[in-house]
Order: sequence, then C-alpha cells, then structure tokens
Amino acid sequence: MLQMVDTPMLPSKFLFLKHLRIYLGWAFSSGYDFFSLVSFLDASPCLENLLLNVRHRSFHPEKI
Amino acid sequence: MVNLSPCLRSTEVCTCVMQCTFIWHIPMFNLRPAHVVQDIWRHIHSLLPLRDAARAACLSHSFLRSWRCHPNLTLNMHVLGSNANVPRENSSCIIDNILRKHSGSHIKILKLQLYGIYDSYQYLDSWLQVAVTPGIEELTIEPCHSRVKMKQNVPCKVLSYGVRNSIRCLQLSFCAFHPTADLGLLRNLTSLCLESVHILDDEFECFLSNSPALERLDVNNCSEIMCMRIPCVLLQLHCLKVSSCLNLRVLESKARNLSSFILNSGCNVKVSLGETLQMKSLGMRRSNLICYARAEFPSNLPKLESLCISSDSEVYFSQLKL
Repeated sequence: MLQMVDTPMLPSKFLFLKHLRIYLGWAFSSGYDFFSLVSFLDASPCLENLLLNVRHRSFHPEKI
Repeated sequence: MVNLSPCLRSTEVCTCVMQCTFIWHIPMFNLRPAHVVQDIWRHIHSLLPLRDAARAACLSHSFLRSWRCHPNLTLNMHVLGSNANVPRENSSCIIDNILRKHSGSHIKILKLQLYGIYDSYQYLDSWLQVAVTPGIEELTIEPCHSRVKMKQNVPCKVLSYGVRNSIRCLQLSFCAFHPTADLGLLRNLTSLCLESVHILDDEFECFLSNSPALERLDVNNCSEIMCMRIPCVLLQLHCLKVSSCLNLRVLESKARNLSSFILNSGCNVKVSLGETLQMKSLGMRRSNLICYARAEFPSNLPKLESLCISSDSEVYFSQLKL
C-alpha cells in the first residue's frame, strides 16, 4: 500500500554544505516523521558526509 | 666535542647533539662568529621537549646557558614526575627553582598546570610575578583545584602593560578571574580560552571589549555566566565556542565576522548572532532545532559548509531567533 507523506521542503538550499550531522534524542514524540529529514538532503546538492544519529525506540531504520 | 651522558635516553637529544657535533666540524661553520654559533645551539636546544632540554643542560655550559633562557616552559606533574621518581611534595620546589632561575629571560610560552601539586596555591602569585613578563606570548594558568573549595584567584596585575601588549594566547582553567574596566587594552590577544573559570557577566564583557584582536573564543563550564554579550569591537572574531555553561540564558553576539559557532550549553539559551552571512561551520544543540534549521538556516546562513544540529525533541516550534 502506497502512503503519501507530507514532507516539508526547505525554502532555499544549502549551496555549499558538505558535512551534515543530525542527532535526535530520546524525547521525540513517537509520531515524529523521520522522513521529513529527507528535506535536508534535497536542499544540499554538494553534501559529501551525512551522519544521522537517532536514539529513539520508535526509530526503525529498516523502514527508511 | 660534546660528550654523551649515559643517563641520556632520549633519541631526540642524541640526534640533536650528534647534529650539533657534525655541523661543528664543518669548516664554514667554524668561520661564523661565536654569537651566531651560540644562537644556533640555543635554537636547537629550544626545540627539545622540556625534560630533554633540562637534561641536556647537564652536558655543557652552552646548553646550561640555553636552558636558563629556554623560551617555552610547560610545568605540570607529568613533566616533573615521569621517569624521575620525584616526590609530589618536591614539585613546587622544582617549579620554584626553574622559574626563579629563568627570571629575566623573557619566557614566551608559559604553561602552569598545577593539578595534583597541592601546596602550589601558596606560591602561584609569586610564580606569576616572576615569570609573566613583557614579551610573553602564550600563558596557560591552571591552579591546583582538587582540595580547594574556593577557586584560586588569578590577579589582574599579572597582565601588566608590557604583558598586555605581547600576549597572544591566554588560557585560564579552574580559577577565578575578575578583570575590571581599567585593565587596559590587550592589543595582540587573538585566542582566549576559559574553562571552569569564576567570572561574572560584566567582567567577561569588559575583558572582551579590551581584546579587539580576538580571533578565537572558547568558554567551557563557566557556570556564573548567565548573559554572554560579545561586543561589536571584535571584528576579527571568527570562532566562538560555548559549551557546558549550565546557567547561560542569553547569548548575544555582535561580532560581524563569525565563521564558526558552536553552542552546547543547555536547551534554554536565547541566541542572537546578528550578522551570520559569513558563517561556514555551525553546531548547536537545543529542542526544536530541526524544525527551526529547516525554516531559517538556508537563508540566514547561505555559506554554511558544515552543520551539526542536535535536538532532544521536536514538538513545538522554537522561539529561537538567530
């Protein structure tokens, strides 16, 4: 079943961003849309390194 | 000819001495004036690690003279105690001897890291008076803090007129520092690092206002600072790092050329960075930062090359204003 998600896009781009690290802590609500982080990739055409660190029990990497 | 002492074990010293011995026998070298030769010896000696430089001073009068004006002194338990079976109670005595015999020698780099040297608090003021002289470029002061509840005060008089004109790097750790408005300009201070320093808001702002050449500012675990204001006179400031200042509530920077900013001091800090168009590296941690970064960072930080954001929750839209 195909599910449509409303992922917010960034209003403009990080034209020079090469290194991006995002750390998400324990206190995230279980309904947080981790897919929305894709918007950072869309806005960073020169990205070389990405580190995503999620410490939440509701985060299932295999779903991404 | 330099004789190698059997007590020398350092390969650096042996290599250095052999190089000296080698160039000593080059005819061209012998034709140089004596003071030039002495300068070369002194330069080679100044490149040695502190312990090796002190040991080499036992070899010859030439090295002894070089040792007495060694421009770089790092004194701590590790340097004084390793491989020497030095009792801890003698450490203060050794430091005292070294500094007094170097008096008047214009030390350029002085690092007094006194952790574990429990009686050093009695002597710190006099050591600073002897060793911190005009011409010094780098100064690190870390008083012993293990058994003393009150942080030891580093007196402002250490920063005399001549010292203020020459000092480039200042690092204070685990001490109290209370600069006043009449301290005067530190014209060449480019790097300031405060770690666990008892300093109040207005004292901190006053010191920064007197440091117009500052390029790097690192403030770590200074829990008395609640409102940190970076004045606009810091036109050279490009790197600002604030971490573990647990009572910090407001951080307001008017420095216009920041290119690197790191803030890791709790989640309730109201941040105002003013001009951010030059920012290339940013690291922050606070709630709702992902949402805010998505909405505001691309337009406010157009030259960003490195971004590190950490958020513990993303429920409400942040009131953070950059």
